[in-house]
Amino acid sequence: MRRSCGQVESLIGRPAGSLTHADSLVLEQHLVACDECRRKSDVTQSVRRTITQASSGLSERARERVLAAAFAATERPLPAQAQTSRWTQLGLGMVAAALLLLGTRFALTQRAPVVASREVAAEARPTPSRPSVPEAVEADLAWHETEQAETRQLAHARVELAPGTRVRFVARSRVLELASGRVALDVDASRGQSFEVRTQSFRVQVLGTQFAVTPERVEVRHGHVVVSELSGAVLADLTDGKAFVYSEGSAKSTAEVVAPSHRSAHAAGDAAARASVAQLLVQAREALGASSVERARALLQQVDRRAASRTERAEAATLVAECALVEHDAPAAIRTYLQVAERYRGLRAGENALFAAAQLSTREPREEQAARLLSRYLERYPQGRFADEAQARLTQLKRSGARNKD
Amino acid sequence: MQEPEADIDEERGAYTPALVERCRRGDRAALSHVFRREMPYLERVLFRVLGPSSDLEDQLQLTLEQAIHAFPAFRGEAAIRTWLTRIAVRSALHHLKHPAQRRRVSLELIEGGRAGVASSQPEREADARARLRLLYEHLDKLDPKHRTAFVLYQVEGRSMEEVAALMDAGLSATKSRVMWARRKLFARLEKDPRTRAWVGELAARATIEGDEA
Repeated sequence: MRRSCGQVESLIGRPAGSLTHADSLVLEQHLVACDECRRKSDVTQSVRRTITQASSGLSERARERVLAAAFAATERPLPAQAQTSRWTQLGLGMVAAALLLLGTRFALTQRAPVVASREVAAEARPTPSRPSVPEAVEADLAWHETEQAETRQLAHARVELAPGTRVRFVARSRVLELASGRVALDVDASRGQSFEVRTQSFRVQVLGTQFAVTPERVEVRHGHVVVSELSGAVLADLTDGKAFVYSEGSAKSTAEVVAPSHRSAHAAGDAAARASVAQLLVQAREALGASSVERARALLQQVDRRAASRTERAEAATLVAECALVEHDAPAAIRTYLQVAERYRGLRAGENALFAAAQLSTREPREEQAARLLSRYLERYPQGRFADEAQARLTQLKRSGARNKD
Repeated sequence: MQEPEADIDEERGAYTPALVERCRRGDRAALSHVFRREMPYLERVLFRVLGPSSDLEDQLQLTLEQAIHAFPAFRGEAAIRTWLTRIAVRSALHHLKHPAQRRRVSLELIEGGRAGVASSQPEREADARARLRLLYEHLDKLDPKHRTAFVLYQVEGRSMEEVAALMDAGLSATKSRVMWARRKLFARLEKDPRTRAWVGELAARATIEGDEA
């Protein structure tokens, strides 16, 4: 009996060998009599061929670079430390000044928790004094599973490990990795150093607070922590009495016990302003995709007037260059890319822009400029993402230059 | 650092328990050994899900980073390759869901040295590359979950159960995602004048072959 189109839809266009003999027969029988499904089958197979015939083209060298970068990223200290926002810096400065003024004794008994996130403004809030803790141990802790409850001093954090908890601690980056179980932490803010707890699904960044973490949950007793995905995307911003629950595929903050303070509300306003900058950038990109350069420029001007982060500004500037590109104004695009490359040389956008400028210049008559820019790229980013391509292009340019001279 | 010796259990065709344990303990040599072996495979999956994007290296790196962090909790219930693929798929899905994090260098500017189509004929290569770009332009417009399920099922040729497991989704939801992706993609390919000819050409060929049969 011939099956209906709906019944064979999931069999259409599957790669050879992935169907059972019976399914293949059913499909064949259907396709012989159904033009529409035969057409769908052909299109699906063509889509598959188009994708499978392409290769990503990553060289062995690029793979080694990726591997080295992955290990380096898991060992280096928090990026949030290096990229602390000016508000956080200002907050830290104010906290430090206040501590100096109030005297050493007061500073040792009063803690001023500070948010360790580039996303949220710094906040100082007194919390209850705590019992003195033993001298900090600045040593690694290899993977360790507790049989009964334990208390350890790891760097500047007092850590209570519940029975059956499996953790590892890397002293250099002050990262506590939690594989299973539950840890309760009391991080000393007076050291002014960050501390991070990582689970399989998320990470918790903090400067000074009391909080507890399991692989699925974070509870804040005092202070302020930021929970992020391992990729860096912020999941939750927690203050006193708040908890965060992580479940597969969805994460949410729960149990707000204390109403947000005036400063928290201010921080929320900042977050909203940043969200709108992100939205403007998305809209600008969409406008560019639709070749609506004027609209894209208008949106980017709005970004310029907002309190955008450095990364957002770099992205906006890159989009300005792409506006010129859409208008086929290569010299203007190159000029803007180069401005991005110089102004944001430490950011990924800077590296992208320099390579983009070099690539655009490879089209005649700017070969000399292209060679110069490619050399500059290789000098600045010898292990860069486009180093292989830049080297290949440069060699190609030199060869064609030599041929022209001959 | 100790170098892994016999890393594959010939009988089971899987990594030896000793090597897996060393990975769990964070032994860099063991992790590097496993990653070097699995990277081309992960790269292929990521490339197919993400398309010819300049984000490929970043996503591959992110997958390895997450695997390094998660290895202590790896229970060994699935093969390491399946487990790593799951991390890669989740990472790619997250990336597709957050377009603001995607890199800004336009494909035109970087494609020359990166995503390539295996061919010795430059014209066909350029044609295939253009087709690939067009295809991902349309795939980009689909819901990320639909797109990922479609690529894993229809392009990678995985079973519906495998796709569901890789995406942490139910079987019926996965079937529905693949179906919607296919319908929406076809509708888009037929609507777009640049791909209409391609689809039409295939349809004509299908009709001729049908008549001949």
